Amino acid sequence: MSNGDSEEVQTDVLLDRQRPKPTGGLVVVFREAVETAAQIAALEAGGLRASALPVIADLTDFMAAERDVCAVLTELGVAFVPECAPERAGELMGMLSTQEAVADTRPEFYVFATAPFQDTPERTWGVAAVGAFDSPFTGEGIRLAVLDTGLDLQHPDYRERRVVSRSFVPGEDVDDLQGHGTHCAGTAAGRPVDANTPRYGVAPQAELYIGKVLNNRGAGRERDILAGMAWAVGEGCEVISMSLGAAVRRGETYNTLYEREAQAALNAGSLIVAAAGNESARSSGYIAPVGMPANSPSILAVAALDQALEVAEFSSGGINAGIDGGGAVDLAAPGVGVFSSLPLPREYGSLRGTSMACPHVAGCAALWAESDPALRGQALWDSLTGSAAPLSAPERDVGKGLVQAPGQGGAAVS
Amino acid sequence: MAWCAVAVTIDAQHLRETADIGAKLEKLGFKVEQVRPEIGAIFGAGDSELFPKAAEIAGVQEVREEGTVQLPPSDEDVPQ
Repeated sequence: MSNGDSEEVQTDVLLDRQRPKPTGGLVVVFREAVETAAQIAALEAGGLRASALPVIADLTDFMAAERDVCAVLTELGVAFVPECAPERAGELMGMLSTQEAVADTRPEFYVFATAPFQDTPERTWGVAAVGAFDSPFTGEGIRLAVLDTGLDLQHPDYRERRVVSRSFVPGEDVDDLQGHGTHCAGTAAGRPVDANTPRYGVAPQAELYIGKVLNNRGAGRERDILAGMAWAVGEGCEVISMSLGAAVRRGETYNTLYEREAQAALNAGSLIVAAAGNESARSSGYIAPVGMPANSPSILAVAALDQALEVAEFSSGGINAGIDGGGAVDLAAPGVGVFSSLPLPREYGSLRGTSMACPHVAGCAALWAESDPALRGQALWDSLTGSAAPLSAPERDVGKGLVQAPGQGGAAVS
Repeated sequence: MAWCAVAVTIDAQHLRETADIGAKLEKLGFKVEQVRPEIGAIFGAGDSELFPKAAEIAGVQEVREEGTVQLPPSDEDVPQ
């Protein structure tokens, strides 16, 4: 916009405040085939001191030791000029641009890692991101049900552990030959026996209740899933994790039977958490609606995040939110590169999906339930959504944000 | 004619009559395998051509093919 004769430069204040910050140093790019001696001479012409560094890996140590000497990386044909006053930097850029050996000179900027969370030898990135690693709670005394493909009861991390289990699949025992159930149970409440294995369970001391509702080919019938839900409620499980679902159409409402079962569960003090679904192709602009049964109003739907806390490419969104009170995403949790247990002989592995995000929330729910015996059913739901760390993504995709464990002395994400 | 697994939902006002409605479905030719009055559900098997007839029974809210869930293969590259 112009105002009379004077030109006003309009800037986006928000964008302006987020621009990369200069370090105060310069990056000098030399022309091809310029000898190292000529590179150093060009820098010295500007009154700078310079040394050649043939090994790039030595750069950090060099710059720490030689704070006012330029490092010339001979292999790359690039030099780094140490931090100097802004006026001096401008002067140097002007001088260096006149040098025959120099192709380009520009300010150096700080660069930040785009993936703030990663696995360490102590814990998975998911256990850290939800704040479970820093929480004093472990899920002790809380019954946590996982309704899935069962559990590998011979896995070293479960072999010596008390696990209550029941199969609802005709002709199959609770043993997990598919792998999905063992992975999800591990994320919710796994407890490695080997000290060299990172902590991968959010609520490692919770009491595991395993309901096999999907067969060893990963398929399940509605009646068996509903029966598993009723079993877990009857067993007094405070938390029920369901990493399963089926896609629904845009505009489609929830399943009355799942909703009735979930409402009865909430009334009995059991919170049901389910995976939102993986049908989106976000890079192509397609966001799929939250699947069934996560779309039930009384089931807490969980979306998946990557290590940068961005919505995962595949994660379904609240496209049908508001239809009869269901269809929304309620929370988000780690769902990419999730390390957990797998049936032998694989033992461990990483998977991705909202199926992996769901047990992170279930585990956190167990921690909250342990922290306060009044937090059951709807009150537990409200604690989880009320304490979530807000994210930049819209509520349609992440609900109230990243689930957080109790008592960690502040959110893991600011 | 298509024989399939069936889920019948009973409306909220007729939950107590779920077992009776199951008996009526059997008379129509359905095979009733599971009755869950607490949530108003009847599961079984039957001919899909009989669905409209079943839907006419008082207290029946919905008659449909039973839903299923299918996980993808356990693979790091496939969202689970």
